[in-house]
Amino acid sequence: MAAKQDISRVITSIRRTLDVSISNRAMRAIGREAVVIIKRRTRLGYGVVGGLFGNRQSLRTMKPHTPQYQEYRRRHRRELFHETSPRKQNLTFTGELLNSLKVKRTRKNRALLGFPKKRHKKSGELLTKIAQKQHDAGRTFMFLTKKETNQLLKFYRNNFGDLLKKRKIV
Amino acid sequence: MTEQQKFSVKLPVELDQKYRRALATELIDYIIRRTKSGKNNKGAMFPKYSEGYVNSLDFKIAGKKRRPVNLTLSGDMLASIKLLREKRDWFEIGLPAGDPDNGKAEGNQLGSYGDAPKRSRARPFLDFKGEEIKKRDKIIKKYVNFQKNEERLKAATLALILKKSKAAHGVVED
Repeated sequence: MAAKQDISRVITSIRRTLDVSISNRAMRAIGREAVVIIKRRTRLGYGVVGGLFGNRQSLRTMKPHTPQYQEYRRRHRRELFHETSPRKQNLTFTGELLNSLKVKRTRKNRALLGFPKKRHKKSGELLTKIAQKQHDAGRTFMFLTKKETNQLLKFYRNNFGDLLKKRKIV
Repeated sequence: MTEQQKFSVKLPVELDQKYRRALATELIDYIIRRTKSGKNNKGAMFPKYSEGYVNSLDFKIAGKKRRPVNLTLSGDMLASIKLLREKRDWFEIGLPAGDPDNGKAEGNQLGSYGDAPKRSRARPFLDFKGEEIKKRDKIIKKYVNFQKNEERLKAATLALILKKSKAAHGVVED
């Protein structure tokens, strides 16, 4: 009887742990980490090149600004976000676009990242439209490369994959 | 010409492929954890970042701090470390051939950073040396024990099944 109770307790804790590891909470955390990765890589000045999905994508430095736009940025230096410079091409002027990137929805096995339905304070354009324009201009940034996917997998494994070990069930 | 950055680990021959791969994953995770805590392959602290790098925009964008020196800007270099080749008694861990991060890794390993190698600037993060060898061996031993325990458990379960089936068929043992 005691052994039966013991096993059922272990099974319950395994079930609870598995529920946490594939829950919306886990997907939200993964989505947030993906946002951090995309933001950091884009601000460092790298875009993504390769197929739309899958593991064939790699990094590419973004096309530099035209001399005229560089000059414009130099003249408006004070308005520039602190994580950019007049010459740096990192899809950042006021910083609003990348700063508003967030996890929009989560399901048990997916997280949808995107921009809120808001207009850009400076240009008045919808943020999603600005992002689409950058994508169309060859500055693709809303994807993950193979290495970034590896980073996400490690993040998941460290935070949720090893829960059974952390909770001392196995 | 950038060289591929890799190292090999000798293993006990009795280790199965399943445990060998799990061991490789754990060693890679250990190297990443060690590097992120600012320690090199001997367990000593990495030399500090140059002032130029600390004051750079990239340093600020990545949200880095002076300490720990964790060799992480985008995180791609450390994410590239993987199991490259394996045989019964050894495996090779490192960055895949042709990976663009080999250059960065070589710069850190040798302290070259685009110039001539300089030992005082080197931040070797791959492999296990000095005190770290003991830690590596401890992890290897853990996996050998895991495998032994599994084999023992399998043998015990088989013996139990055999005993029960004999009893069910009325076989009497001497």
